[in-house]
Amino acid sequence: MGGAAAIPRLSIRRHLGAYLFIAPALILLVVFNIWPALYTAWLSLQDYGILGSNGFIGLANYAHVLRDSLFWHSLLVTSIYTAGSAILGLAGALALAALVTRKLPFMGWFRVLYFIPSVTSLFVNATIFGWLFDYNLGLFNYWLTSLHLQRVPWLQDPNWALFSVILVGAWGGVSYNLPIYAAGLQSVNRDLYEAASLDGANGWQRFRSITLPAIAPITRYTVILAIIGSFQLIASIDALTSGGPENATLVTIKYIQLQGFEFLHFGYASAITLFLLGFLLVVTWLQLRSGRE
Amino acid sequence: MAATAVGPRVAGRVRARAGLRLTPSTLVLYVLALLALVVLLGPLVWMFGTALKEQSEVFTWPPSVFPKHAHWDNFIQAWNGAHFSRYFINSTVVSVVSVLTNVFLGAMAGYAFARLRFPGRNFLFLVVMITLMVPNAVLIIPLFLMMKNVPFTDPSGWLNTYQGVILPTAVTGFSIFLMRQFLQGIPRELDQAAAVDGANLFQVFWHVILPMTKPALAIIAVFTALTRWNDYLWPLVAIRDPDLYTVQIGLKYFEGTYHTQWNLLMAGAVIAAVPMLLVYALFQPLFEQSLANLGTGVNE
Amino acid sequence: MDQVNWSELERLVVQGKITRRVLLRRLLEAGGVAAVIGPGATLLAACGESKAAGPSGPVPAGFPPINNNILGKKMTLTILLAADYYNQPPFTDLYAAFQKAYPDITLQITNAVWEDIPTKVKTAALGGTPVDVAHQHAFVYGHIGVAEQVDDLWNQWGKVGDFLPNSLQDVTWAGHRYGIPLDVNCLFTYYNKDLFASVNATPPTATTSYTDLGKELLKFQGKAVKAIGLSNSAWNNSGLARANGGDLLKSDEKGVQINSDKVVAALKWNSELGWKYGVGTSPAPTKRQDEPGFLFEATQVALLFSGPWDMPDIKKSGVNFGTTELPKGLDGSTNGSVQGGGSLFVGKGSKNREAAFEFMKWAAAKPNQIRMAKEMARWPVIADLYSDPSTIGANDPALAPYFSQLKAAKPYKLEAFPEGDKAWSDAVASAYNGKDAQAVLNDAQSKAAAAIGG
Repeated sequence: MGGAAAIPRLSIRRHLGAYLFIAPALILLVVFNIWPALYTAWLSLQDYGILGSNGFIGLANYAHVLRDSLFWHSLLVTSIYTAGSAILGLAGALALAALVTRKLPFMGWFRVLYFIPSVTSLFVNATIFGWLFDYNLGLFNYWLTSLHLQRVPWLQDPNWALFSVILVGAWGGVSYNLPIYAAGLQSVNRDLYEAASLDGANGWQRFRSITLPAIAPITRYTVILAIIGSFQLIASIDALTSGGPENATLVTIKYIQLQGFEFLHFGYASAITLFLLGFLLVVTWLQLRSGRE
Repeated sequence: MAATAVGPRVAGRVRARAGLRLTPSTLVLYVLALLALVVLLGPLVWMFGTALKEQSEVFTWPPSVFPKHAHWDNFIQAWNGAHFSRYFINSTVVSVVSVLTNVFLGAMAGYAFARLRFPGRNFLFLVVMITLMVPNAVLIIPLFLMMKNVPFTDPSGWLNTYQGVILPTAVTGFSIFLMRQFLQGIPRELDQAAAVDGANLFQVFWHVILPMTKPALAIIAVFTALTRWNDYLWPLVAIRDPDLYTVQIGLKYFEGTYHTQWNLLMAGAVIAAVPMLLVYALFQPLFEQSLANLGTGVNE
Repeated sequence: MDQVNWSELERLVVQGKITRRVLLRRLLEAGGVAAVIGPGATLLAACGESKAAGPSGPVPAGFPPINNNILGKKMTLTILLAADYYNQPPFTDLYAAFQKAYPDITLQITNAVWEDIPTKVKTAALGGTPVDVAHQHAFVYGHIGVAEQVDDLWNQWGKVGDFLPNSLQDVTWAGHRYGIPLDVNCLFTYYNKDLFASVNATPPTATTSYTDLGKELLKFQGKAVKAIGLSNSAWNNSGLARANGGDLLKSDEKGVQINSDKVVAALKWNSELGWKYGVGTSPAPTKRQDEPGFLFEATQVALLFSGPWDMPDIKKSGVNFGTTELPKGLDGSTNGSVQGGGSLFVGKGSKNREAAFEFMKWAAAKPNQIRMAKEMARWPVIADLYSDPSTIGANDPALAPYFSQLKAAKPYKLEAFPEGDKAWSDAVASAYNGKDAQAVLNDAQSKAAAAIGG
C-alpha cells in the first residue's frame, strides 16, 4: 500500500517534525556563524582597534571601502581567480569522472588515487607548488631549461603569479570534486543511455541530453561551492605569494586579514567583509536562479 | 542491431563491457588516465621524496625528486619533533566528533529542506546558504570572544577545550546543502513508496532516507573529516595549552624563525596525511554505490 | 597575643611548612581565641591554600636573587615562546630552576611558530586574556599598546648597562621600555673564495664599499654562476639600507623617511644587480627566504648577505667560504646592519607583571645566555659575554666579522608601523622586479606617511 495519500500535507504535526529536524543544525549555525557575522557587522560601524572601540562612526568605514582602490582591485583578483580555478577545476573533474566511471579494469584504482591531493592540507600542497614553481631551483624551470627554454617567473611576475595560483586552485579542484561528479554520474540510470544509443544518439549527444541534465543538481552544488570556496581561499595564497607580487594575488579575504590583523583596523576590515559577503550573496543568488530555469 | 549506425565510442563501450580489449579508444583512455595521475600525484611524490632527503639535499641544482639515500629516520624525527603522538589524538577527537555531528544533524536538516514543506523553508535555507558564505577566517575574533565568555565556566570559558574547537564547525552549511542537492536528484516517490504506512518522520528518515543516500553521507563524512583535520587558524587561536594542539599546528613546528627544515616538514606532512588516506579508503566504496536500481523513474 | 611570633608563623605558612591544625594549636596556645579570630584568621586561610609547595630552592649561580615581592605568591604565568626555542635544553632547565626557586609559581609554557605569535598575542589582547610573557619584538607591541611598560622594573633592577646598547633598541619605543631582550643577530656577508678566484674578482673586506664590490661582482657577468643570491625581504633590505647609513624611520621614531637618499641609493644598488646587470639570482618569495642560503651552499652564487643561522649548513656543505661585514655604504664611509633576534615582553593587563619580568630576567641571565649561544647558536644580549668569545663557544674566526658588525646593527623598527612595513616591502619587491627604486620608494613613502600621519 502506497503511503502517498495517507500523509496529510498541512498538518501541524508534520511541520513540528520538520522544525525539529532542522533545529539542532540551525541553532548551531545561528550561534556560531550568524551571530559572529552580526557581531562583525556591528564592528564595522565602529573605529575598532586592538585596544577596543574608538567610538561609533556609522557608515564611514563603508564609504571608505568604496573609495579604496586596493579593495576593488582585490575583488577583481578574487573574481578572476574564482572564474579561472572553478572553470578549469570543475571541467577537469567532470571529464575525469567520465573517464573514471567507465567499467574498465583498474579505473577504480585510478579513482582512489586521484583523490589523494585532497587529503593533504591546502597549506602543504601550496608549499610544495611553491617549490616546484621556484624560479631558481624549481623543478618546472629545470624542465624548461633542459629544453633550452627560458625560465618562467611563475611567482615573481604579477601576471604569471595569478595564473600559477589559479593552476594550483584548479589542480586541487579537480581532485576535490571528482568523487562528487563520479557519484553523480553513477547515479544516472544506465537504461537511459541504452535507449538513447539505440535511437542513434552518439556519445556527445547522449552526454548533452542525458548526463548533463541528470547531474544538474550536483553541478549547481559544485559550482556554488567552488565559488564560495574560492572567495574564502587564503591558505594557498599565504603559502605561495602572500598576496604579491605587487598585490597581483591579493584576494579580498587576504586584504581583510591584512587590514584586520596586520594594520589592526578591525572595524574597517569588518566593513570589507560585509562587502565581500554581499558580493558573494549576489553571485550565488544569480547562480541558484539560473539553475532554476 | 543498429551497431553500424553508432560511432566508435559506443562500439568501444560495448566491447569494454565484455572484458578488457585493447582497442585504440581504450588505450587512449588509459593514457589519459595515466597523464592525469602524473599531474595530480606528481607533486605529492615530490613531497614524499623530499621527506626522505637530508637537509642539504632538499634544494640542489639540478633539482631531484628522490635522494641518493633514503633517510627513513626523518619520519621518526618528524613524529617526535612535532609531538604527533599527542596531537594525533586531539585531531582525531575533533574530526570524529565533527563528522558525527555533521553527518547526522546535517542530513536531518538537508532532508527536511529537500522533502518537507513548512513555512519559512526558503528563508531558513537562505540562512543556511549565508552561513556557507561567511568566511571563517573573518569570524575568528567574535568566536574567540564568544568562547571566552561562556557563562558558568572558568575564566577562559571554552577556550582551550575540545568543545571550543569543535562547536563552531559542528555543523556546516556544506553538509545540509549537499544532502539537499543529492535528494533533489532522487525521485520523491521512492521514499514515499518505501515508507511504511503511518511511519513517523524519524522512521522514514532513519530507515529509508539514510540508506538511500549513503553516497552523500559518505561524501559529507570524508569532506568534513578532511576539513577539520586540516584546520589551522581556529585551533591556533582557540588553544593555548600545547597538550591540546592539533596535528596541523604541530606540523608547522619545522618552520623555524630563520630556517625551515623542509625535509622534516614534508615528512610530517606525509605522516599527517596518512589517517585521512585511511578515512578516504574506508568510505570510498560507499561513494561508488550506484543508484542503478532506480527503475524507470525520471529524475527531477 | 604578644607571645605569638607572627613573622615566624607567616614564614612557615608561606613556605607550606605548617598544617592548619598545628597552626591553630599554636595560635590558641600563644594568643588564645582572640589570635585565632583576629590576625590569625588570615594566616589560617592562607595556610589551607598553599599545597605544601615546599621550600624555596636555592637560586643557581648567575641568576637574579630571589625577589621577595613575588616569593610565596601563588600564581600561574603563561609564557608564549617561539616553537624552536621553548623545548630546547637551556629553556627546559630554566623552567625547572625558576619553579624550584619560586615553588608557588606555576609556569604554563606554550609555543607557536614565530610568525604566528603576533596573531596569538593580538587575539589574546582583544579577548582580554593577555599572555604574561611573550616572545617577539617588544617594541612593536609597545607601540600598539599591548605590552606593559616596564621602566619602573628596569630602574629597580638597575642592570641596563649590562646589555648591548642596540639590543635594548628591540624593547624600546618612544623612550619607554617594554620588555627584556633575549637574543640578537645581524646581517653580514658570506663569500665563496673559490668562485671569486675563478673570475679574478677581489672578495670584499671590512672596508669595501658597495661601489667597489659592484665592480668585482660585474666580473661574474655572463657566467653560469651568479655573483650574489638576492633577497627582497623587507628586513634584509633595511639592513642593506643601514649599511649605507639609511634609516627608514625618522630619528624621533614618529615618522617615516622611506625615500631618503641613502635608502634609495642602497636599494637601487642591490636591486639593479639582478635585473639590470644580470649578476644576481631572482629573489625568492616571502616563504622561501632561506633560498639564497641554499644557492650559496650549492655553489650557485658567490656572495650572500645573511646571518649566523646559515653558518652551520654552509660549513657542512664544504664551501670554501669567508665572512666579512656588510659593505660600508656606497662610498665606504658608513657602517650599519639590521639586528634580528627577539625579546620577551609582558602582555598588557597581565596580573603578574612583576613575576613575568622576573622570569624574563632569568632568561637574560648570563648562564642561560651562555647556554643559548653554545647549544642553540642564539647570540647573547649581555655585553661582556663578547669580550671572550670562547665563553659562548664562538672561537671560530669566521664569526669575528659577525660580532664586529653586531655593534653597528639596529633593529628593523619600521615593523611597528604595519602600513609602513607593507609599503616598504612592496616597494622592495617592485624594485627587484625591475622598477625604478626612486619611483617606488616615493610611492611607498606617501602611502606610509598617509597611514601613519607623518
